[in-house]
Amino acid sequence: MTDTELTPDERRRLDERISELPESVEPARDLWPAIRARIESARMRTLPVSPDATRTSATTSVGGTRTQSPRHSRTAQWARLATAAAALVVASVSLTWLALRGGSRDDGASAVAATTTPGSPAITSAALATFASYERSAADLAAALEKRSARLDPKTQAVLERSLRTIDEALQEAREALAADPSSAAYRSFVESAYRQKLDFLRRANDVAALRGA
Amino acid sequence: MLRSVTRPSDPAGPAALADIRAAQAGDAAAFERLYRANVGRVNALALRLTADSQRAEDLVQDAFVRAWEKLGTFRGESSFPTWMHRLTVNAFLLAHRSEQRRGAREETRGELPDSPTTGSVDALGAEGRMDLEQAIARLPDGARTAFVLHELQGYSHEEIAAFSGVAAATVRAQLHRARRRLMEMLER
Repeated sequence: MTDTELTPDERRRLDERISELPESVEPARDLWPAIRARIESARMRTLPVSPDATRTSATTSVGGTRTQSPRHSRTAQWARLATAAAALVVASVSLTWLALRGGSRDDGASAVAATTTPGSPAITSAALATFASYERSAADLAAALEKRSARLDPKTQAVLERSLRTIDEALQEAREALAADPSSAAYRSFVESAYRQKLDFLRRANDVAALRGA
Repeated sequence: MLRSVTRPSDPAGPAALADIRAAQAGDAAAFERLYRANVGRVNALALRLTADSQRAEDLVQDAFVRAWEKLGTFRGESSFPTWMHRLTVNAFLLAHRSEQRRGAREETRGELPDSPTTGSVDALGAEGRMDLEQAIARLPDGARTAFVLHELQGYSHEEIAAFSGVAAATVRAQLHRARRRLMEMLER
């Protein structure tokens, strides 16, 4: 191979080829759900730490709406967590019921998934990284589910959407509890458990939707 | 300094400007519209820089996350697509330097390998003739970066040298070799 510069004619031919390159190439898949999840994680990490941070959790939706979560007493938080746990079970049962009757999935999965946000500034970076990883996985699964939504009847979609919303509400409750008491191993464990159940739900919903489309 | 044919044109009309302002105020729906309007151009650049579809996806994500984080610094002195391209290049070089520090990749600063740098690119078109995208993907990392940044993005030798942490003379040498190798592949 030689390192000599191109001749004028070669240079012209190369410029012609360059001019034919497309300015835009769409990605093979929609990257927005994953970007949205990362933005949410980043926003939670950069929230200012204040004396109230261990008492009040903040939820910021990437949909643009900022909401301050209510203050909870420890007792009230445990009561809500118990409710959230029950809700997760209900969601799981509903999916099982759908699978057994041959139904499936959710159109609003990605939107629901995107409302979740991890942690607070006081939560360890390792925990935040774990939650961010869950968020990315959930976003990918939700995006895959969204693509398959056309295969499902509206009633099935509505059932799955409700179930996912329930899971997300449970997850949100768990995160708020952890934000209020970041040192609590129990709260962190519950958040991780909720994420795992959400991922499991999304995987199973994808499986069911794929079967419906086969 | 920016002269390339693939340099982004500026489609920013009133709607785009409104979205930029709204996104700067924290409106993620507006930012999603900016993403939809610009992702194709950013992805094209990412694919050419990385020559790997998976790494390109990661780079696109990194660029838009950084854009969200830095939106407050966007003053409109350049167009939004141009600003996004700059962020994408910065994110690529940052990741590249990080990989080099970790020793995860072999830097091919001098000799051009005979084999493609990635297995993810179909080397030949249906007629057995390589197109420029595929030929760029077959360049070694240093030559590809220099070619994409100079020939397609319009950065000067000195700018690329500053970005990459190498001498401007090295950039020129990489460019010469890249052009020569591209012509060989295209007209083989």
